[in-house]
Amino acid sequence: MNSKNGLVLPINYSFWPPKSQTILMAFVQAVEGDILTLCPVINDFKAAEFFDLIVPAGKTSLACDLVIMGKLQAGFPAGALHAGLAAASHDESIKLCLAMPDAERQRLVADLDYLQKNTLPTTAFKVLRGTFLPKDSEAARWRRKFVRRWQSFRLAALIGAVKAQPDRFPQYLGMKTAVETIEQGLQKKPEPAAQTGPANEENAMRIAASAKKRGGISIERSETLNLRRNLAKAMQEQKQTGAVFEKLLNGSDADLLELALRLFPARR
Amino acid sequence: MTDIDFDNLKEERKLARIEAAVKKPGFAAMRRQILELFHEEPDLFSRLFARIDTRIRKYPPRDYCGERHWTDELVADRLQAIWNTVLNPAMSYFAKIAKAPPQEIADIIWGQIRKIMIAEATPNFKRFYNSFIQELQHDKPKRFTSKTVAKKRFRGLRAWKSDSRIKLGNKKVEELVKFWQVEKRLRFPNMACNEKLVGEPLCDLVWEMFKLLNEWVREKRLFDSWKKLVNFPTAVQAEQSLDGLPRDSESGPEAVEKYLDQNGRDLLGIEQLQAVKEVLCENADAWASHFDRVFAGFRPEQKKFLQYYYVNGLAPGAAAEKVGKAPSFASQTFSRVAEECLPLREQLSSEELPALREFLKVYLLNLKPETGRTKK
Repeated sequence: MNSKNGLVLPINYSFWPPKSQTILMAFVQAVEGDILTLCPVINDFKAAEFFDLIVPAGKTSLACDLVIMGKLQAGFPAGALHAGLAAASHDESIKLCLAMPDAERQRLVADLDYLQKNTLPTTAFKVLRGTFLPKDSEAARWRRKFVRRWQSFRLAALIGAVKAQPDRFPQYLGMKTAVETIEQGLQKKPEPAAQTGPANEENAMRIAASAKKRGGISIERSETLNLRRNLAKAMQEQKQTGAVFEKLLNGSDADLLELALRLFPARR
Repeated sequence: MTDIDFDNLKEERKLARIEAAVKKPGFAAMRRQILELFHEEPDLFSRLFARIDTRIRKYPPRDYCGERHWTDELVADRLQAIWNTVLNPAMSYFAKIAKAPPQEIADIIWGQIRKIMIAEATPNFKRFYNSFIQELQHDKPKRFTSKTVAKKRFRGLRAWKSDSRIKLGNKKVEELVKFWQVEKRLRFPNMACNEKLVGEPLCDLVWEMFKLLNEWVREKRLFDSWKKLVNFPTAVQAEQSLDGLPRDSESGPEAVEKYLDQNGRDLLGIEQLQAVKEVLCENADAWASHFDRVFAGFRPEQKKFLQYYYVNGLAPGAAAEKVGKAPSFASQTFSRVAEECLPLREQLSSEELPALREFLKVYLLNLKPETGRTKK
């Protein structure tokens, strides 16, 4: 098993919105190069939604209830996790996280995968999952806020990763100016919802044009538009036409940064 | 792409107002006076906390927090909100508290408790409050009044205020509903059919109600009977309409209530969640075929309504509105579901009841959309 796959690890709180006092961890669902697919983990099962996996305290070596929020899974740089996990291994709780048995890790990954793929009434309940929360319930309100924070955490972590490796990306991408723009916006604006559609340069233009028509795009956002356009070109050059790449290209600012990290892996 | 974060905007405006208030001359003096007040009267704070705490718990929890009971956490949230406002330099309370003698502080805060309680109430209750209570309050100086006898508040006509011949009524909610609707044949608007409840006609109708009854009405019962008379859509209504299910002999009505309540999941512990999961695994196939048969007889708008209610988490009134129906449609559909659930429910113990609700939700999630008539 990959060194981090299936582990529940502490996040890097320097990227977490400072206003929030939520305590959470992250579940490593997959590792591809230096991109980790993470899901937030909380321990209040009352806030669990239908696509969340509930792991009772008795069934995990971490000895506390875990709610793995599967719907919020997304790609993150390695820096999104607590810095210096190995160095902090004298810390009892981190030691416990790192010592999770392989069998348990595999079971968690498999269960979450099963939960995400099975929603029919005859199969959905083979794993312990949350339910549909009433829209006006306290839990649903808390969740909406939490989703926004998780999205801004992702964006901050990706910005951090991109800024830490300025030479990783070719100059024509316009990464530096785009990241500066995105970073400025991070303090004020929430993450836009991801959009789906075919991945090409025209499509990137079309998305931007429709956003502009709605009055939703300002002049400085043209930097992100350039980045989107250049990434579309890079995708064509590298013949990366997979659904994951297309989704990222048509997604939010964070998706764009993740796409850039995937298209231009770190030099060894 | 440039959505505005309204939460942040609101917060920023609030901070700006506080900043402006702090810069005003006199703020430092007021702050000092408040600090001195609590310094000189160290017990004042705890006494006030205790009194506000008691008062908050007197508000009906169903309407004011959407739960069955007040928890310490819910009360603490409201307490915090009350103090945040009264000690906010940008609010007039701040100046009032700074000038007031200690014995008058509670009176200053009292009005704020009601405002915070309403602000934090459930959306349905806020709607009811705005459409009915507010209207009644506006007309109060002219035609209506209230009086308190033996710690109970009564409502009636201003014209009776000093007439001792008008008796204090003791009719229950159902009796009141029967009196006005059946005996006196008063026609009440249907709230979810968008029949206007504001302005003159509403107050005229309430005046007529009091006049016909000719006795003081317990305020609480007036409000509750009004909700029934105008078919007010509430979450409780949906639960009540499903209440046709037989009671569990082992655990009594509570078990059924858990099953009915959309928020009832909060009552489940992790062990019960696991028990529910086991029941679902055992019965999933049988229940799926049962619901296949049941829903084959449902109309498309009934299915759509149930999806809005169970899957999208909308309130019954709102879900009915989405399919172009009145709230009575919600109660009819719920009764039908309850009726169809009877054979399954009889096989389950009270502990296993929530499984049925969970299954129904997932079944509805997977229900294919159908085209059908949805009248507007």
